[in-house]
Amino acid sequence: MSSQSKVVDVGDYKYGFNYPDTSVYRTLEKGLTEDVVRAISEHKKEPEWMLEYRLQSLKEFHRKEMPNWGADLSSLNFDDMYYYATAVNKQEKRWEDLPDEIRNTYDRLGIPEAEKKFLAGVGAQYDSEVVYHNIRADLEKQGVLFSDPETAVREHPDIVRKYFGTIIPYSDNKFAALNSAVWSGGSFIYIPKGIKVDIPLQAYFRINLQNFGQFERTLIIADEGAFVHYIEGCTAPIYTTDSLHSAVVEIVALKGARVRYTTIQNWSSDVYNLVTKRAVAYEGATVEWIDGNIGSKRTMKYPSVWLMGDGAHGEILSIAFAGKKQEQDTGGKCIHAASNTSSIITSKSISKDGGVASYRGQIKVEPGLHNIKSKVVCDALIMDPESRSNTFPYMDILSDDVSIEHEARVSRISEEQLFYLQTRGLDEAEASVMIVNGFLDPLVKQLPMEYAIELNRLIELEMEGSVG
Amino acid sequence: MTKWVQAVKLEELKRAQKFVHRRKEIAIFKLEDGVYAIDNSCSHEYSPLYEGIITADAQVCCPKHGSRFDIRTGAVRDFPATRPVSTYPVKIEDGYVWIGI
Amino acid sequence: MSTTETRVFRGTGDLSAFLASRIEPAWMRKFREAALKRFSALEWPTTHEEEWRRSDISNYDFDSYNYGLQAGAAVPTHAVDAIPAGYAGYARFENGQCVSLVLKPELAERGVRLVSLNELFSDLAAEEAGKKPAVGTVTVVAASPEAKALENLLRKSLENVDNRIQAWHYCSITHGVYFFVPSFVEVSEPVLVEYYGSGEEALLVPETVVILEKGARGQLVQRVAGDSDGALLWNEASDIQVKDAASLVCLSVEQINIDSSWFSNGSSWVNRDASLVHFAAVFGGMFAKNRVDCVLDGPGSDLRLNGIYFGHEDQHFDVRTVQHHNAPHAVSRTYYKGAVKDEAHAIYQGLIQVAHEATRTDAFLNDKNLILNDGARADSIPSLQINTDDVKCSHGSTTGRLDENQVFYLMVRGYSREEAEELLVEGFFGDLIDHAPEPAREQLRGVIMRRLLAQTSANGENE
Repeated sequence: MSSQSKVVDVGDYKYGFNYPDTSVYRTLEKGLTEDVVRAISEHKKEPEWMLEYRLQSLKEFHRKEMPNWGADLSSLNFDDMYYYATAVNKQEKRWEDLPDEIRNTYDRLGIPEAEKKFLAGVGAQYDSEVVYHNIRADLEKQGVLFSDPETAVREHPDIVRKYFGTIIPYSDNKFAALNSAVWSGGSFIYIPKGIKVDIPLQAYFRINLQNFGQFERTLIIADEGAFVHYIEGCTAPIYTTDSLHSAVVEIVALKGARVRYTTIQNWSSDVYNLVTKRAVAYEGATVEWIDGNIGSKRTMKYPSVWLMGDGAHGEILSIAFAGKKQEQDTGGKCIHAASNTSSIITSKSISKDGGVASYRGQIKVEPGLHNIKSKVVCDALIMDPESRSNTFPYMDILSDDVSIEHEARVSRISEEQLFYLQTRGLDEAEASVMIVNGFLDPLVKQLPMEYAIELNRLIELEMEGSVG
Repeated sequence: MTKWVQAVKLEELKRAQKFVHRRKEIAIFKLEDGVYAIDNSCSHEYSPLYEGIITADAQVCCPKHGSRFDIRTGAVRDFPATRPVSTYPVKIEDGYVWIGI
Repeated sequence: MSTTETRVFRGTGDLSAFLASRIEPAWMRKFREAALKRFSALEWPTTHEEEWRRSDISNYDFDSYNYGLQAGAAVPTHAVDAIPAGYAGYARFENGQCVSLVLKPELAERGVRLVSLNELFSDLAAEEAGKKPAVGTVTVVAASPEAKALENLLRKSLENVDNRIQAWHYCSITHGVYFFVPSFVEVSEPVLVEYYGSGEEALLVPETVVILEKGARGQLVQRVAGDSDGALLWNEASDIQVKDAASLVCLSVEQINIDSSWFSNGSSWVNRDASLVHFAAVFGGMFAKNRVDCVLDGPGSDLRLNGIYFGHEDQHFDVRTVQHHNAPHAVSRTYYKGAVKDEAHAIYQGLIQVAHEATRTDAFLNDKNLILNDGARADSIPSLQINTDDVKCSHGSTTGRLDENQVFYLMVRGYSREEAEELLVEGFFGDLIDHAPEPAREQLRGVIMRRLLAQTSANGENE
């Protein structure tokens, strides 16, 4: 099987390597049928209610039409895809216990090293299943739960049933329905009242197989006054055929809690990345999404905050880089459903070598509310005449006591800036990289240092040979 | 000030249907304990509620994104909607369903 | 000979019969047939389409309206008409009948045309048939540049059609006006075009065509109004061409009653170094879908779109502007301002679209909304579609209520709260109204003040 998986030239994409398919279990055929869903559920030895939920979702998936807006998904073929595969039979707590291929993968990605240095816990998902999971002992003692959702379904069914699928119902959109039917892996996090996890938890998602669909499911609950910063990273090998990543992420920030969710999405250029991410912020809670999209063939992702309680705050920082043959359709939504709530959306996008970067976002204010503030700023850079940039903001305002501001700008690198830097001795390419890094700087500053360096490096790679 | 508008003949009343008055769309539901009328347009993204699935506990699920509303009170039961839909008084008279607007 | 058309048509099923009844030159017949073909190939827009998502028209029974009130010989004598002060010409239509049509004689002498489309068509048809025209003196002959330009512009606009409402308009035009200014002629005062409607369940389809030849200057004010009762359906379009180095100012005021509905479409083309200032004012109708679609079609062209809308009671407005940059070095600016009160819902959708060829585009769009009470609703959807890199494009949008600090400041100065609010609303719209053609400004201010002060009727309706 693996011998057929031809790896194409990986070019600048340093995560383009793959390892042979060593799946110990995978669903037998390509395509999505009730049998596949039942097989996944059976393999996971799930309770009946979850199987029911999956089957309902599958029906909804077939009933729903593809979106008639956003990125071009016309060549996405749901029938030419494997929906479930696992390379391990059990999850490990020590990297050394993983099969060699998998361990090598994560070593090359630098995850074990990062864990030692600056993370409070790590989950690593390889195709469908989470193969490694570990959390610092002191946090575990404080009652912090960090596991894959399957474990949570078994061990904490009361919490899971209370929140699972309530923030994003399976009928929310076609891809949420798909995920709800075939979900596997992801993260489950519960932070008890008043606990502040001061260093980040991380999950790393890796697709190894060809024509594969990864459907992780993440549920984060920050109880009253709690704080957590969760980081996810994603990569995949480069094949000649397409893979699909379709996650659902639900976040609940209870009274006074704060959740920060950072994504550095660097899928290879053959991955469709169609993700639904939504958070609910109750009284005085804050949710921040930092969403960096560098890789993938097509991304459609609009992290959202539903501001449900007085004084809640939502913040979305979106960075998109659309290179050759890429379409990044990203943005964010903030729904104001309570008084004294505020939101900020900042988007920075770069399109280059014919890439298409689109900002799509929404601010909604329900009626009868007071003191609502929202500001949306979109900045787009177009690097060459073949590239494109779109901006589609929506503002639906039903209350009068509001201050809603939106502004967007599209431009190219200014010749004055380039000239200025060149007079200082930089060549044009160096000057361009410097300007682009400066353009992204306000966002990159929000990342932990290691990620900021990584992001800057990724941008430099993408910018190579981009003079003009 | 309620104005009563004749909506539909009682014997022709379906389990769920829509009624239009001056561009205002109203969804009419026939439940075990009576007839109820709410806004047809989902408070989330305008989808027609009368086409939604009606659950055993008198809730309707929006056909487009899955928001759930209580048919009797208009209250939101499930995201993504965050705002209740309006309800309208209903009376049955002379074999017709009347809606108070 | 009589060209009076007395038959009343009903529904889209009667369209072929309506076409057959028209007295028009061959090219216009062909044009209507092409439009009908386009109409038949399209479906009514639904909320599945992005542009229509917030404006559901599925409850309209478009076939329940009567139409086909052709003017022809019934045109009254022109001589008695007076041109309102401040204007260069005046055309008035009542239920499709042209009741007034005057243009200052010195302008007519210089080749400026202000003609009723039905009259023009029947003249051209008569000329084609080798007959004498039905009425009066012939103003436009088939071989004239203005006749050719009219034909070309209508064809071009039909090609631009992207929905069924528009296609329906072009096959069912019931009446309209053609304003033509020849090369390097300046018309310093605006011409006034009024469309008036009354009755129940009637469809009125006016078409306004404005063509300014090279280097010409002109202004046009269009006002659409009607009786305070009755439910009419208006399907209007204005097609405009401003040729090289010409300059046009155009104001369109929509003030139909609150039981009627309004669709407005049409295309504007701005050629090389030409300039168009378009001003739209939307006030009337329980439903109004007003689209201003402009193409910057030549290098150095300049476009300014101003607009105001003020919704009250249960009105639903969907206002859309498109700045379509097709050529390099063009500049466009959009400034729209809206207010909503009672339970009104206003949607503004504004698009800046830059083609690959349109380098050095400089485009800007701004939308400001004032929500005057809780329960009113304003949606703002500005968007950018940029297909090349060497551009300067931006947009902004703000939504809020009157600034309490400003109200307070005025109240400290001795104004009552109501007076303070009036002043602030007047100020909010004022800077745009100052850009409207002079003779129309007072009227615009008046409409805004009356609307601001109007008390909501009992149920938000008047039945």
